[in-house]
Amino acid sequence: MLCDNCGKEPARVHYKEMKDNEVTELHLCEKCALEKGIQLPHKKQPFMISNILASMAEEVGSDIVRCKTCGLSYKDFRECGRLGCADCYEAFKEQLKSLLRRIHGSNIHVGKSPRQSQDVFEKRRQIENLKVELSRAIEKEDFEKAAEIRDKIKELEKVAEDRSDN
Amino acid sequence: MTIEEMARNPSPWLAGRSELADSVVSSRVRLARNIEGLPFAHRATSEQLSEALSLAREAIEKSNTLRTGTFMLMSDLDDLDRQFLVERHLISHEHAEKSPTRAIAIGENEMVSVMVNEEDHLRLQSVQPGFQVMEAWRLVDRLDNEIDANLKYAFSYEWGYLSACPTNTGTGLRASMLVHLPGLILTKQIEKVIHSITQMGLAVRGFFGEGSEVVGNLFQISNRTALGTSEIDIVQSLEKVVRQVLEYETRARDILLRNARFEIEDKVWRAYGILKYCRKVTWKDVMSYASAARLGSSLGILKDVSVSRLNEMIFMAQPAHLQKRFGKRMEPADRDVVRAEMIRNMLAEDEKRSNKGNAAQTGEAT
Repeated sequence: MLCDNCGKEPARVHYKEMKDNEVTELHLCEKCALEKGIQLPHKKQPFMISNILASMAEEVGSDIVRCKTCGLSYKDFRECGRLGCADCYEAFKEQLKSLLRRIHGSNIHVGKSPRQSQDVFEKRRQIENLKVELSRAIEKEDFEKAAEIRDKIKELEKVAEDRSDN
Repeated sequence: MTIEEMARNPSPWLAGRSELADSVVSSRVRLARNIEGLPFAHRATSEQLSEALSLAREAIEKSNTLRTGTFMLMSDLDDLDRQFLVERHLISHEHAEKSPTRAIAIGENEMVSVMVNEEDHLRLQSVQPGFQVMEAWRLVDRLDNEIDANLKYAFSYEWGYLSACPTNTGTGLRASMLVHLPGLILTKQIEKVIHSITQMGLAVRGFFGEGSEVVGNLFQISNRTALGTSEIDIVQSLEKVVRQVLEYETRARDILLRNARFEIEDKVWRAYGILKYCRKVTWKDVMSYASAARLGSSLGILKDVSVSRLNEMIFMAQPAHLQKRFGKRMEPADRDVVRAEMIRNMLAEDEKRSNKGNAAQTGEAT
């Protein structure tokens, strides 16, 4: 079978595409498959986030943001799909929030945490939960309860901050 | 443990018995971890990579799980050794680069290992035979805690373990199972099944279509997302989906036996015959014949060879495995001859063993 795209090389990549519930079948040679950004398992893969990155509208202004620690710019990241260091997550926080949500369907970690961070992590999780309770109390105009929750949050925040400073 | 010693036998864990091993070759869990305060590997200077290497090595060698293990630098290995580790599923293709700062730590039975300075500073991995992804998680979780005691990981309260690629950020976890689905291929249902797996948020790797048989009808099913779900939940949802897929596979095999018994038996016996009598054979052909034989063995058509033996065969028949085992570099054509001989011997041994077993059984009966 020859490649559906160029018609010259033998088709080696057999590929199905779902669009609006319709399946199209494509048989491509390796070269055309690569051009279409289809992953070949034995080649170094163009990572799947590159597709997501490409599909995100160019964010004017974002591209020039740089990570102060490693010097990576957001543009570099969009091109290579890899972040430079842990601090990049802080430098590109706003952009990454929506990117992570698009990749994972969520942008809040709920799994395990390193031993040294466990206390703080647990406190933070409690705070998040209390904040939800707080807005519910306010909605219900139960201000007495709201004040109570607010105090609890303040207390937890103080502990969490003290710990994470250490 | 040296590469030469490893090459004498298949990965020790392959011999393990487990639930659903007829259809699941192996279960694997890996964790991506980075060291706080150092740039990710692709952006680090060679000094920084050396620092990451020595920090990682120290923590690995202090861990209970890997204290007795083997630590190898990629620069100390030649290309054949590195290829061997790729075939053994201990390192990735990308990691098989002659670099003084890339390394692999391998634990007892090769069940637990850590790649150092791959895409992330550490990639912890655990492999188990059969349907044991929870056990694989348990082992890698323990190793992670042990390394955590002596190393500070890059971590954010909001986003979890920070990774070079945002697809791994969060738990850093990828859980996968290598499943054998010849029934779904032969009944032409595989595409439908793969489509529904993908819709459930999991990824399927491995080729299908025209050349599907050449990869031995083996598919790797894994989670695609790592953030917003706990490790246990990720592992459990993979288990759930794979169980469902295996149910479809069993149903497909029932249909085949009912409607096409002779075709299946013929396919199985022909494949077995080729493996048993071939004088030269490529690895891809071994994959394809072993797949048919594997199906025959699990359906009870073939009694002389076990599924786990066939698993060993597909690993041992790989090019670098052969060359390490026979202690010399060989051209592809020569490898094909040696490979055929090794496979014939493996099957002859099995047959002898199985005949003995039968004789003993008849002896008891009379």
